[in-house]
Amino acid sequence: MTMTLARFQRLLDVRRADPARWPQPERGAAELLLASDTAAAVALEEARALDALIARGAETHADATGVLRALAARPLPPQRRRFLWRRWPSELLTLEFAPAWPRLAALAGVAVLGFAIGLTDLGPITVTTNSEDLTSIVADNDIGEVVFAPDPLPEAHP
Amino acid sequence: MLRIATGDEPAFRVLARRYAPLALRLARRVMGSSADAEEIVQEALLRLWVNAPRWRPVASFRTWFYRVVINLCLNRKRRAPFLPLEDVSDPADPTPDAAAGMERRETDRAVATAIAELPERQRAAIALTYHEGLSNAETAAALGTSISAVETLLVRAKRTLRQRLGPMLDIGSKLT
Repeated sequence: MTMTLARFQRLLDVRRADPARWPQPERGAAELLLASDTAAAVALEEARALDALIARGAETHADATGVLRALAARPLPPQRRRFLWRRWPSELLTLEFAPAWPRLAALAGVAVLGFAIGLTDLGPITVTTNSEDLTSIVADNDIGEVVFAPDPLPEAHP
Repeated sequence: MLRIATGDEPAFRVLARRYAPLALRLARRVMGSSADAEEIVQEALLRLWVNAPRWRPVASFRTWFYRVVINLCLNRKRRAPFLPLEDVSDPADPTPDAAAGMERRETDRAVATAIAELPERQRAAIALTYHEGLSNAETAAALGTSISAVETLLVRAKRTLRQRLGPMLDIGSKLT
């Protein structure tokens, strides 16, 4: 992996001038560039100086006494609560069903069930008491006869 | 937060004492005005109390609270023009040398002004990463954006700061 000066400058801007913060794959390339390009070394020094300048105000203490006093001086407003019947859509949306495999297993199960139902071809339910009628209904519904017959539609040939 | 969600007022006071200084520091940096920052932190804490029953622990509390503060800052800045930092005040000078102290104060003032003149989201990104110590990912969560967007904000902000503080970068390197 090679690194350009522009990429090195971006690394300095995004991850600061501290090699410990650089991602491992880029650190080696950055060090190679530093060893071969004086402009990269100058950029590193400049970035260190800029980081130091920006960070100088980091430890400024903020005295929040005024805020806390103002808060204490007034009664707190009522809290906003939502009842379950109003929040159930968002609750459902934010539910995390992790890990994902039970969902995948359920989906696969439903797919297998649907496939099996499709193969069995349940057909219309007809109430009859005559055994011959029942036989003809079953025969009419037996699509397997059409599918697996050697030549199911002989009349279709010219 | 769970106790606050049940209406536990003392728990809220404890949390407010702990986080108000952090929020105030951040709001001051983004707003550039102590008075506005105090109002924003007060508002943020009240929102925290009011909405506590609906809080969900999807992110760290600190990141979530920073996000509330940042949003309030940005909303207020859309309504009001930016005021330059009024309290880039002279920090206590530990050096015995008055000239060095003066130089240091001048540098601090110039840096604070340069940061204050950045666009608000760039300023917020700098404040969160450099001054609040958040990672780029945490900063993205606090700003409600992606990590790559935060990186772009940082690149632009630092390019501007390099241009404005160019002459001081030598001073900065001496000071480190």
